[in-house]
Amino acid sequence: MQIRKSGSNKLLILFLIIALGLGLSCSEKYWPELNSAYEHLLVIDGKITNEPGPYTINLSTSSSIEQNSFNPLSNAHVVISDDFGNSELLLETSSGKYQTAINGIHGIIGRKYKISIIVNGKSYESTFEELKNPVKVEKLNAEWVKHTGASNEEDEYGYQFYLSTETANETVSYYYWELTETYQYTSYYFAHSIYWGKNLPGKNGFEFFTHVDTLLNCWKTKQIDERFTYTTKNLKIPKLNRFIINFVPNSEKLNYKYALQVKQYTISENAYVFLNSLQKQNDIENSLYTTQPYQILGNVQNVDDLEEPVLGYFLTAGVIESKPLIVKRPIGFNVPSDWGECSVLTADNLFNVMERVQALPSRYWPVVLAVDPNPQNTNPILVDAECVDCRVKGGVPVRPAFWDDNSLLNTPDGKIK
Amino acid sequence: MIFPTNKIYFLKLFDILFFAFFANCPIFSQNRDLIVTKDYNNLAWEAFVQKAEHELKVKIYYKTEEFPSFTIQIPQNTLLSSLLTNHLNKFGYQIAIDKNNNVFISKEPINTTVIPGFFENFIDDQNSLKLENEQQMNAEFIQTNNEFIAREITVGSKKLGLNKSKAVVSGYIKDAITKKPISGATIALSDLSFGAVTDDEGHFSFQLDKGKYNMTVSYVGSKEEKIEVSVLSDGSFELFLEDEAILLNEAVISANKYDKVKGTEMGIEKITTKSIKEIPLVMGEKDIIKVALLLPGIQTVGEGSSGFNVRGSPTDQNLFYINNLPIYNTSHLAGFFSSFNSDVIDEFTLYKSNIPVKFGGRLSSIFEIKAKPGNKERYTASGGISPITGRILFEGPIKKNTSSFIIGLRSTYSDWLLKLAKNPDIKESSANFGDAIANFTFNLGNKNQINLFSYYSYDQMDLAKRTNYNYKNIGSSLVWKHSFNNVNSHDLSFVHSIYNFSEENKDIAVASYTHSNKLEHTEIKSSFNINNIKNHKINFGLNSILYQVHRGTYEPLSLESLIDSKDLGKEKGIESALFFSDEWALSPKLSVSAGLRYNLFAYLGAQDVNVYLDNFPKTSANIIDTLHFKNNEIIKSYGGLDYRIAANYMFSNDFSIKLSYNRQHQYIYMLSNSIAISPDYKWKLSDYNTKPIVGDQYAAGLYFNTYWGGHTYDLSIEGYYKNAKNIVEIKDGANLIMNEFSEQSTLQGKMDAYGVELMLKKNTGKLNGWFNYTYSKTSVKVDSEFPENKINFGYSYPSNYDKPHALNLVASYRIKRRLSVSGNVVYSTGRPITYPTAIYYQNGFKTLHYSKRNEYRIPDYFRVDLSVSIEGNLKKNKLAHGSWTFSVYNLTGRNNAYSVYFRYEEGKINGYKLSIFGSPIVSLTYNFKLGNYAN
Repeated sequence: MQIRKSGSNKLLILFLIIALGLGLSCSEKYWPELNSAYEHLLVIDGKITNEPGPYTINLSTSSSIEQNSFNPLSNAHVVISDDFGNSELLLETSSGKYQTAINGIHGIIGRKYKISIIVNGKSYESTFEELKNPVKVEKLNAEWVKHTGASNEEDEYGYQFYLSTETANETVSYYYWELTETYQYTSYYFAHSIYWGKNLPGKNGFEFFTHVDTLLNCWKTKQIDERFTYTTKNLKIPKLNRFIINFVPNSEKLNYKYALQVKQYTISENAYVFLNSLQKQNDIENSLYTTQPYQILGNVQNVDDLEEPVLGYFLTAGVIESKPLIVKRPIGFNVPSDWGECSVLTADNLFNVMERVQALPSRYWPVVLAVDPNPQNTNPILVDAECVDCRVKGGVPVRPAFWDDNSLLNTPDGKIK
Repeated sequence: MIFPTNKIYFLKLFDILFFAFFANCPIFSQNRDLIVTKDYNNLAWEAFVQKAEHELKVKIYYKTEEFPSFTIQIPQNTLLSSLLTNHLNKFGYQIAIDKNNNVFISKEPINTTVIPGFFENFIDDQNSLKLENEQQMNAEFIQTNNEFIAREITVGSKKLGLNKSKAVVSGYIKDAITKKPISGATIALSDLSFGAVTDDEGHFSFQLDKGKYNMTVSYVGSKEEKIEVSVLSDGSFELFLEDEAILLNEAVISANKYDKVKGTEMGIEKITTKSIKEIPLVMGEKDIIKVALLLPGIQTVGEGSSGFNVRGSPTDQNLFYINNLPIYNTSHLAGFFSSFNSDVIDEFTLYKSNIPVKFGGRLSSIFEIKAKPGNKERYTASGGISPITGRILFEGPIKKNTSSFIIGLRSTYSDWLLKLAKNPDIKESSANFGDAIANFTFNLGNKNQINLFSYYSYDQMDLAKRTNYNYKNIGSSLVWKHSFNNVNSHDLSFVHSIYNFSEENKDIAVASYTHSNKLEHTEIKSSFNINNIKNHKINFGLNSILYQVHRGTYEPLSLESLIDSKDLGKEKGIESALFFSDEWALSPKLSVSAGLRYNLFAYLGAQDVNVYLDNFPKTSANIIDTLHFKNNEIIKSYGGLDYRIAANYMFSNDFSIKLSYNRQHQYIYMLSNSIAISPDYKWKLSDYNTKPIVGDQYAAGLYFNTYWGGHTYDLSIEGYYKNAKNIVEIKDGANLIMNEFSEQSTLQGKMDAYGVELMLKKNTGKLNGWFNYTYSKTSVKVDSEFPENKINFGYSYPSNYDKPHALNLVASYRIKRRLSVSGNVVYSTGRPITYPTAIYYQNGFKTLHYSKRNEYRIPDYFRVDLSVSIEGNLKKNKLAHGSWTFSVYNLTGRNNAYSVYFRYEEGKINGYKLSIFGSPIVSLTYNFKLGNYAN
């Protein structure tokens, strides 16, 4: 069984506690000189699953830590093949993004898959890995809990999510989870119009909104920025019960409702070792490692130079997606919305804001106008776009199908643990 | 008896006597006089003083400094006063003799009448000492060969020596005050250009033709003794050496009284705890392991990591013995402190190379600790208190002058520090440790001694009620020492030691577990020392160790936990050895020593072992068979021959060159995948699939003693080259928790290390201490034709503790009798580290990619420590004596890096340097003992 925080880390912490308790130890910023030999390494990122395609493989190269950039790799010859002799060449649909055809290869449980890549005259290949039978998610639930804060910090409340799997058929299963959250948020003002300039002919370049709340409510769906892996090795029965997967601290995200959806991948031991190592080594909380960090290499190798470090993994996995769990914050824990600078830039009845906007040079386009909350003023007002158009913060003004205003799919007990 | 002349003592006396009180009293008075006979003719001044003090019962006080050197000319019996006046007036000295037969010689005016009894205290002390030694020595004062010999010792009797031409002379050299044996004292027979060095028990012996010999007994820091020995038959004697300086002005950091120039021993460090009393250490805890880190060739990964690395070897290649008892976890609080209470420790010896043949089983070093024997004469107690611990020690006779006990207890009360913290995680944490040592010594007549020793230490650490660690060492040793004819001896020891570790982990409720493992070491050892063969010192014997390792059990900790209970089972092994060594003095200049130790390790059932496909990686896929072994059935045995070869060529008494070559085998190792050793490591035996570790060490050194300004300086330069094979390294990312088949998570590789150590030491004087510099390199290589069996792609990498440049300065300065200042300066290259060097995206996650193993180094380490010690008053008659030590660790507050780490902050990666002790640490320690300063 992998213990997510290794014991030795804890010792260092204990050890720091003693030193910290006395105010002896300290951290200060420090940047060592690093050499550049590890930049521009090939990175493979993609998977084939039992879900229908198309499957996407992203190829890129590593960057220096200071640059911290994503460098897609184009013009590669990428082929996915199975152990039955089928194969498919992937097409580069955008820079560094290679996809199978819509009616192309389809992952079948029990078959083995591998990837072959030729790029810059070098040939890379992965080992065959079996597509495992996916284990179903039995239950996803959440509890409102209190996390005791560290020194000088207040206690933190939030939702702790737990996951239970069904009992697997195999005695040992390896899991990897991708978590997706969805939450609702609103902008501050009703939208009046957007001036697109010459980009929108007719209506003098204005897009008017008949419903003032068109851009008011948005739903944002994003992947949770943390890896979760676990194995049933060392468990009495191959079943996880109330496995701790994610904690959502009380914040604006919980102002309306919050949904969590889990994709549960059943993977090979090799893939588990890779992903679990990445999880442990990149875990921010665990950055005070005392275990020896090392180069984690995936399942793809340079055919002619086995020592060339090739990063990333071509994952073959059985996957099942859970139903989304929607939770609502218990009463009494409201967090005021932080609107930032939503002050009116031109609250002026004396001249026509729309005319002024039309005079703006094209570099300001599109310009978002809001309805003045003062009903006496029929002219729109000019404010920061993010105060009017909820899309600016990354969400979409479309209610997801599973989002039900009246009933929560799962109502957590709301009691505080 | 040699009069304990002590310059400083006299200077003090004169200061008080003449300058403070009586500087203006130019009176010369002569109360009494004595007749000096012609026997005294031609004596050198010092010899004259000794003889006169002995025979005429006078005390002669003079400043030994600047005193002229001359011989006494006395054609006929004469008065002492006129004799002295005749000889000394020409040098400007005046003579006074008081009614107590104290003779004062000074250039200052003298008055002997003003303070009757002023000297009596001192004189009483000296007389009692004198009497004691007189009885033991049966000494006489004679004059021989124009060279003064203080006394004569007759060995044996004419009757016993009838019809024999040769005789074996043996004996013990002991400290005149502490009565403890002095090891490393030299006995030179000047007529024969021949000599001997005392062993650990202060014992020596050699064979001679019957006759008279001039013998010089010397030892660094002690007064040299010259005696004449009449050898009539086999026999023995005891000789007591006095410190060169008397207690009040003792050398504080006289680290090593052992004379490195002589003998074939190399790479040896010997330190008494008395001498380390004032070295400043963290939290004011006197700690022998932290002191060892100030010696050349001893490194550690970082502050607060347990164990140490000797000459580039991993920590599991060191073996710690305390009174023959092995200790498998030597640290308290995960390495902040060592588990040895130095109050109860007499001295320690660290063998870095040329390990004596009676020791085996570890490649790198033997750390041999000797506990103090109890006081045989009276009951006493001492103790102390520091911010972290409280200590108490009791000792006394069980039967006066025959048997004794000593019991030392230490316990922490450091929890109050944690409670001060605001962080609830810290508040809810606790850390406790303690240890106890009991040592009983029984003398059964002159020839038998029994020593019963027990040791216990425990640690309990609870981290925020989520994880706790408990570990303890417990063990006893029973040693019977028998000496045959005072010359040869036999030691028989029985030892049982247990190390127990347990852990409760509640981090993840569904995966909470409790784990425990245990190691038992049971040993029997028989060792003979044969010294009655001229020019040979022979040691031989055998030992056998039974290891029982309970590899660990795992149990779910709560009903909620899904963890399956698991028992990794027990493994057993017997390590037996036969050993023989001889140190042979080929000539007074050249001595060689050679030793052999044959080890046989048998790995025993009951166990099921995996057989893997030959020459393929040990993975579950490559298991071709599983063998079942019954209880005590031999699963696998390994035999190995250890060699010890060493030679010493002495260019002079103060300059020698030594060479040595060693081979060692090791059958037990540590499983740990953290950089700094934390207590959650496990011990593991070599087994069916893991071969024993074998190592060689070649060493060469030059050793000097120089005398300058009245002080002795030891200078040595030693170089070494070591290699080892089959050292056990953990595979990248391997998980050792609940790991049934450790062979699948470990790899065996090679280690190479070399270095040069320079050491300069000043043992005496107001200012004393040492300075050392070490240059060293150490690297590990784990290569294979299979990528999964490589670490770092098969390229060699520096060890975690590879610190090429290391420099230590330890010094102590006695400002006044009761006030001294000590300091350390420590520098070393930063330890190697693996840094993240690139960033990439995997499944939408920003991911760090790391460099090759230990490709980088953290910043260099530098630290200055300082301590001030104040002794309580020096009155002779008082109930208890106290002393205060105020110390500052890391005086400059430099933020020495323990580690460098990186974290994401607002989408950016920032690097941080973590310092454990990033500010000066001030502590105050109070120590007390019953009685006055000197006892």
